Amino acid sequence: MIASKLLYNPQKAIQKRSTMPAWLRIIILILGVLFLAGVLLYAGPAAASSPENPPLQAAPHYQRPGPPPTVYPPSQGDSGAQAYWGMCQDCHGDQGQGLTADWRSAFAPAYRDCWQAGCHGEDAPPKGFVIPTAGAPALAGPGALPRFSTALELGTYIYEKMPLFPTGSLSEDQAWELTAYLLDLNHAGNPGFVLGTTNSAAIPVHQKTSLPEKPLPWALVTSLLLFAGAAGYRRLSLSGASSPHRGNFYLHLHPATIPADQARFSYTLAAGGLAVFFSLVLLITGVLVSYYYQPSPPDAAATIQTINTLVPNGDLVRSIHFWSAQLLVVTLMVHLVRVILTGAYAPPRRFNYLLGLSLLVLALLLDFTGYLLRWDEGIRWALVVGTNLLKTIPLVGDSLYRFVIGGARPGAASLIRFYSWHIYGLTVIFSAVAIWHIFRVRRDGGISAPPPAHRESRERIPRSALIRQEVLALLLASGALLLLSALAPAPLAKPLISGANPTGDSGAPWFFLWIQETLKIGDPFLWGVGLPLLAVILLGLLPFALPNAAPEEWGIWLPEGNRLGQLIGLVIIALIFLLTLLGWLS
Amino acid sequence: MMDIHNRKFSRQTFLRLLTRVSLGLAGGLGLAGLIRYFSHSPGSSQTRTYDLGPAGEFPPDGKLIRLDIPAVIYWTGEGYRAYSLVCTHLGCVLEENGTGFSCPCHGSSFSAEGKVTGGPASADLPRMKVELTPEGNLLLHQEGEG
Repeated sequence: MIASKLLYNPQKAIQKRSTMPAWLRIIILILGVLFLAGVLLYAGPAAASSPENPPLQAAPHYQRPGPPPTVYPPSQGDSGAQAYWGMCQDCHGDQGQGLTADWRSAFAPAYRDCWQAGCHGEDAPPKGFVIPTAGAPALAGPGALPRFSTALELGTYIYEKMPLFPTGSLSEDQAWELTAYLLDLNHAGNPGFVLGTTNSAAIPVHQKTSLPEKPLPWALVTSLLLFAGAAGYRRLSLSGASSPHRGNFYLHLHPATIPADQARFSYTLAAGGLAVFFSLVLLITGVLVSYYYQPSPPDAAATIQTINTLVPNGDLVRSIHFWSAQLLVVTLMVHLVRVILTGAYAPPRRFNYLLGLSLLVLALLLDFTGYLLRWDEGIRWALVVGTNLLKTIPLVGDSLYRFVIGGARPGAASLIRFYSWHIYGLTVIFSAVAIWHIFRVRRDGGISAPPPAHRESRERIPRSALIRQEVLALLLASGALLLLSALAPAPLAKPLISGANPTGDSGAPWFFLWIQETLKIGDPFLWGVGLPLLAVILLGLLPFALPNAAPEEWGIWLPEGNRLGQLIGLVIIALIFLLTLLGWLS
Repeated sequence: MMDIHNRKFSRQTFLRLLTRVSLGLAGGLGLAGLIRYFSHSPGSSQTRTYDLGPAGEFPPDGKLIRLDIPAVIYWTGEGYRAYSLVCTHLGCVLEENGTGFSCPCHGSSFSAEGKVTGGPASADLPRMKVELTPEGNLLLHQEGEG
């Protein structure tokens, strides 16, 4: 890293300004490279702070100040200082003071006129520099950088507009290093913090921000404590020594006793309970995130960056929200497969099966709208392809599109619609249907199990035992969710500048990758809207159109009664899974 | 017999204690994290400075009311004097009346010199700092809060 920085800029400086013959330049350059390589080879990184100045002063047109001190390991601002020294200081001054008369007087007399391409002598671009008559502005000090308020604005400007010759020659990394250096110059920098497109919108240019400490160690400790608590809790319940539950509302929600068959993990996979857990976590973390999130296009992505960067534990809260949402979809799929492969949707549970299926669809819509709220470059597919699919629907397509988007093109109105659907509309419907679903489980006689006459064991467990299972699952799931969220932060990309014309490549969110794949086959309406709809309708028809498992077959895996249903359901879900995998791999 | 029974009891008590401490600590850490989550306050309340323009533009013995600050600035032969126009009662912006300023919210009134002349407010209007730059511009400094 250091070697390339040291080598790169001096070369550029020499090529630009030297008035030496070409052969001498090349020789000096080669000597310089060899010298540096030698130094690095013999002394390793420690030599990076060598006081020697490599051939940089070979032919300056002014008494060039020495390079900034090389620090090892360099902070982003330290690297920026090197780049600044190599590329920016001729115009912007060695202290960021701008192209002042004082600074120009340091140049050799022949180079002092910066408005006649004199600055760079014969190395100037053919048509000369077009420097504003005001000169290059000051970059440091009071009143500097007046048009930038966030580091993102500054970094983007540097990347797109600097240096003047040739414009756009900076790498993205260099632009961020320079931004960090300018913040340092203005006493707004944070050593150790690495600016980038996904955090700099939260960092102001004109004042120093205090960054919260990272919650990782505490999250790991909490997660370990939860696991330890779960282990102890399990030990205590096995030994029958756990304290009896006092009467409470949560207890009241459960039947007094249930058949032991209904509480077997190997049958339920705990999918329903976990889905409730993730939904509650989503509700709580969603409320928390909404305290800081602002749903308007210029601010949306920036406020998420604020949550991630400046709010204490903000990235953890957002990651928990993200992972609960993904795990909810996975859990609901597992739940669906479990119900199909056990034939549990047989009457009287047909209607509740439909409620459950609509919960899956609602969860996907919630995940989709929530993901759109990021309003960063990662949502292009959803914003363009996802919404344009609606247009392909005959007759109602256009009005449906306008209803969803809130206008003729995606923009501020779309974001506020997605936001309202996500936190009000869909959430209210999802919660209502979820409560209905759970109520119907009770009304339909609990989780499907063989009728009493066919049960192998007639054992019933009291609700205290059921609750112990639930608490144990809750502790384990909380610990795992915390661990996952602490170690794998939720994704975030560069803020979306224009919602109307997103460019570049774009992929679907993972839960819609299968639709992205089917779209490659042909007609967008048939393959993008019709096929997913058909899949949902087919799944919904399973208990109504095909033979069901007989009551004595209930409560076991793969009953013979609904073999055809199992086959069709499994084929549909396997296809979705394979297409998702295909989309993920491509 | 007694001994064994006691030991079992103590082991279980220990386990229960350990479980409760673990879960209690986890809950406490979660709660502390939650409180910290709300501790972020965006923006800064630094001193703000308003540029009132070249001092020469003001005729002698005049006054300027700037409701965007809000403040009133007087200038006399001796110099400049500025008062905040935020009511010291509950923060409404004052209105000019014949003799001074009055509050449209709860009826407090102040003299032209910022002294309380009536109403629920009990503190006088704070005086603001006016600065004349070497270039001849008038600057008004508004103290930040906190």
